[in-house]
Amino acid sequence: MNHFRITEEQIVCALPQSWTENGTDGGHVIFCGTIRTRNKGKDVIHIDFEAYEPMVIRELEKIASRIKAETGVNRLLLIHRTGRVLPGEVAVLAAASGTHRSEAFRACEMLMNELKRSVPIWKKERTSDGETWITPTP
Amino acid sequence: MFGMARDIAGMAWVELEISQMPVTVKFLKQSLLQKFPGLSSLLTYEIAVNLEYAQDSQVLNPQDELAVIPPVSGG
Repeated sequence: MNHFRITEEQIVCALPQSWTENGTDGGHVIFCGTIRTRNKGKDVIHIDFEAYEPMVIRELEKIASRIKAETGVNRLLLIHRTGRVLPGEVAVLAAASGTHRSEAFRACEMLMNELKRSVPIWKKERTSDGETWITPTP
Repeated sequence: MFGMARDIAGMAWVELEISQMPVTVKFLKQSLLQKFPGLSSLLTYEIAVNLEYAQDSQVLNPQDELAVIPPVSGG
């Protein structure tokens, strides 16, 4: 069963124990995206994330179906912050679990790429220069 | 309205009066641009209808949930 969630709470860069202990999957790949202290030559003060939550979940389920069909991975997880996130904090946790590691590595990368392409989440960056909505980066 | 679109419009929820039926997504976009000319500064944006990305040709129904989706930047 996939796990997709938006949260205003701090995210720990680790899988929930319940995720790995069922023993069905042998390979788990985790990706954490954290906020950098500097972006394009400026000091980052914070990033505010917002999400169209019901559509986020729906898009992720569709993306998961495609990734599973293409890679053979069994389960996908994605937890994304909304609200204010500070430099050094985790903005997103993505994970893929499969029987073996190769499909898990591939699926986790695909999940992050698809997240950035179509999932309705937006970030507004505050630096010493002011605030800007970030335009998409690949 | 989300993200930059909301900042441009100055509001999260928008009421539009549409007298022309049937209404397509394309017509909705034109109406939004008329009401909020600043939206033209968005290089691109999508309309979501009932939590799904919609094509310009899609016809809208009165009970549809609509959202203006500026370029996404999650992750």
